[in-house]
Amino acid sequence: MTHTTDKKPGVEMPKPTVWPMILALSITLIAAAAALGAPAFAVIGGLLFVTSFCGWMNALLPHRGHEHEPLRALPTPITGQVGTVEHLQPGMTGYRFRLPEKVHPISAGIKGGIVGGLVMPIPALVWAVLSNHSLWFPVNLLAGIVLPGLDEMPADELQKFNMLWFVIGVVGHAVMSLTVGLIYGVLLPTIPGAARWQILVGGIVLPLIWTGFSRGSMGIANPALQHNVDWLYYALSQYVFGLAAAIVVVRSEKVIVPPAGSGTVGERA
Amino acid sequence: MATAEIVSAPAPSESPPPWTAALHEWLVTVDHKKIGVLYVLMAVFFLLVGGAAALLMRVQLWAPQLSILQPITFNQFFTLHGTTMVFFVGMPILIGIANYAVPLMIGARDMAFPRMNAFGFWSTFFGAVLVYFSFLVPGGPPAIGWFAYAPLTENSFARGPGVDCWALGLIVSGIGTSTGAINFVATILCMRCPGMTLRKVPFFVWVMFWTSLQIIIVMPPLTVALTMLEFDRQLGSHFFDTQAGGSAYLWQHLFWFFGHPEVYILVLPAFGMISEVIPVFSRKVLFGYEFMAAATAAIVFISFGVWAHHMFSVGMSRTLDLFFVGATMLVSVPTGIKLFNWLATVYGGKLVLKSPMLFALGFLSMFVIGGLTGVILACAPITFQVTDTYFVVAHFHWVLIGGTMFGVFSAVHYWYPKVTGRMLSERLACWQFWLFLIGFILTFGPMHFAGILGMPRRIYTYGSDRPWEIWNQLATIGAFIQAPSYLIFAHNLVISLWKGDIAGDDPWDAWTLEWATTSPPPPYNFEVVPTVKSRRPLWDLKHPDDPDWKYE
Repeated sequence: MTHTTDKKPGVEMPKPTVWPMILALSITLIAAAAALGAPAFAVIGGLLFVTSFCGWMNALLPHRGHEHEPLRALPTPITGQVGTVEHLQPGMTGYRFRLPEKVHPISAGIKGGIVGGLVMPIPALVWAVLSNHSLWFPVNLLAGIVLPGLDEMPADELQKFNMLWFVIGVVGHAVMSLTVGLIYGVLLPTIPGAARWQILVGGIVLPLIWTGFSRGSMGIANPALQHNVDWLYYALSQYVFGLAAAIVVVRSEKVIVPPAGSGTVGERA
Repeated sequence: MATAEIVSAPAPSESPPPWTAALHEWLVTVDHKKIGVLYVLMAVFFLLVGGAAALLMRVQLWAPQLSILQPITFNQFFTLHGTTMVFFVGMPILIGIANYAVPLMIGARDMAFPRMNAFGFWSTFFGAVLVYFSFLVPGGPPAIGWFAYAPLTENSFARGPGVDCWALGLIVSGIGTSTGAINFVATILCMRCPGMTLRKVPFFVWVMFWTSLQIIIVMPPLTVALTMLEFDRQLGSHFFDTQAGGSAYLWQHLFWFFGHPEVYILVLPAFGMISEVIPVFSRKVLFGYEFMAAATAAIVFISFGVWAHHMFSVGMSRTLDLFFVGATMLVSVPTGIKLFNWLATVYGGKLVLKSPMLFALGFLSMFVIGGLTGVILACAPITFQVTDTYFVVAHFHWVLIGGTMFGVFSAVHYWYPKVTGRMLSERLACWQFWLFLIGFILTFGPMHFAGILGMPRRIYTYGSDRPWEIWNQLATIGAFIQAPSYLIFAHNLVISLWKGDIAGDDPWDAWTLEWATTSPPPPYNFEVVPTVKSRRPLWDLKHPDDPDWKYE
């Protein structure tokens, strides 16, 4: 930070004025007149409005609305403290590169989400066939997460193809798959150890957690699914998704994370 | 400039000016700092008034079938409580703090339009006076709730002029708010010091810029709706008169197009405030400034498309329900980005747990909970179940107190030394914080359960056969634990003016420009307009061997 200087003595500042307050008061009085049906308030408010407006405008004329403030005591000068910033270096306690040093590219998460999203419906469709439902039944149920009232529909309706439900179900499935895929892309590289541990977490642990969560909350989020779902096949779908997405992510080639700013890695803590 | 006489600050032994002169000085001031203080004082006063109304309502709900308050009085109290807290506490205190801080933070000597700034404050103040004037009119204050659903506001249901005082008071107050917002936009765009590009403004300034744009866009629909209401009541039109072909639905759309962005108007500045506090008290730069900046803009844009999630239960079309569910869910993405960035700023930092940081951490923990219940309510099927219950009451109090008030308290404790030259008492601040935190959780936590158990909001009493008594009693106890924290806050503000430790110019070893001038600052803020090269100009000065501008 450097400084530039003014040329006149003192500092020119707007002069205090009562007119803004009076103008606000006048508007309030006019409003009060309307609220109370009291014309006297309107007359007083109108007079004050004109007076304060003229007074305000007068302050805008040259040399009328400003004054020179005398200078006050200066602030305490800020002095530089050279050498007080201690840079962490490799090997020092607390030093870290940006971790993880290598990550999967964003595209890995997207690919994982796409592949997982493609294989995930297979168990659901198998269940539909084995349980004598139509192939549209699972996707119609999925649409219930955003469409209220599907749980009250007759069972026959849910077996039929419905374009709106289909679009909502497919879009919802795609968005969820891509989102979870992206999360996998970010999360899995942070799992320490060999690739098999990342697959274990992504393919088993995480689907187990969100399946359990779904089991508890499905009645609120999607009553239609809650009423009709077969939880065995539902869980199977989640595991199929998790394993496929995790494998795709883990098998992708990692890229190095570039350092922040224009400094070199390790220059700043 | 260099040859001008320098006047020393008045010595403590000098007698203060007579109170009439001091009063005159404050009434006619156009100094952004004094106007900022006036806003804050007004807000603190109304905070105590609105809080007292809340306490009385909590007492009334302590047990079934109490009649401490009459039903009409209860209705008037919750109307004034909501109106006061939103329009005369939340917005004024945020605008007031910004009024004080923004010009200082951007190296300006005042706001772009100093007289309009004064006009904005007085309009807000007199608007509040007009609303409270309704206590003196036949029929008393309005009993319509703060969002004043039609046709309850029509002459058929509200015959006295209380509703007119309310509507016109809000219009006048809205004029003040709008002029303030225009002033912020002009100030931030036109009065930044040399070197401070928009990419280098302090984060609070950036947030105030977007909040002001939001105010400019959403205040006109509210003003229009209130004007139409007055047309109905005074001139015999039927915009909202359902018995004469008017539409109650229209009022809801107009009101909530203002009303939901209003929530962000109330919380975004708090985001900015803690974004100043957390880095200073973590001794780190704000993590992911660019992402935070983009998230702020994203929240503002998205907030214009979520209003009808307040209206799921009125029976909109499925398409509209879907759109507003999706849009509302979307807000959580940029908000989540902000939360993660604040956490990343704290992570690995050298935390200094002074009062501003305590409140900032309170914000982080409490706002997350309020945000999560917001995501829950964004699901239309859940809203069908809990709409107009205490679950909703709990949610928005958790956002507005857990978010806005924690942020405001953090900011006041942070900037008070700059405003007064004195430090607030840390001991009193700790008492305030813990009473506030515990009381807040105990007040609004149980309301979630009461709401899920079906307790409607705004009922003045309930039957003993309902399972709500215990939750109401816990909430009332919480309110009485919370109440002293506000009194301690007000006491600390006053007593520290005389007994607080001398602050010095930069008591927190902070990095933005307001700390480069005296405490309190002179009327002109800076004798010479500073030139900056980074977002942390004072860091650059203090650490010339490792300035930020090398990295930004």
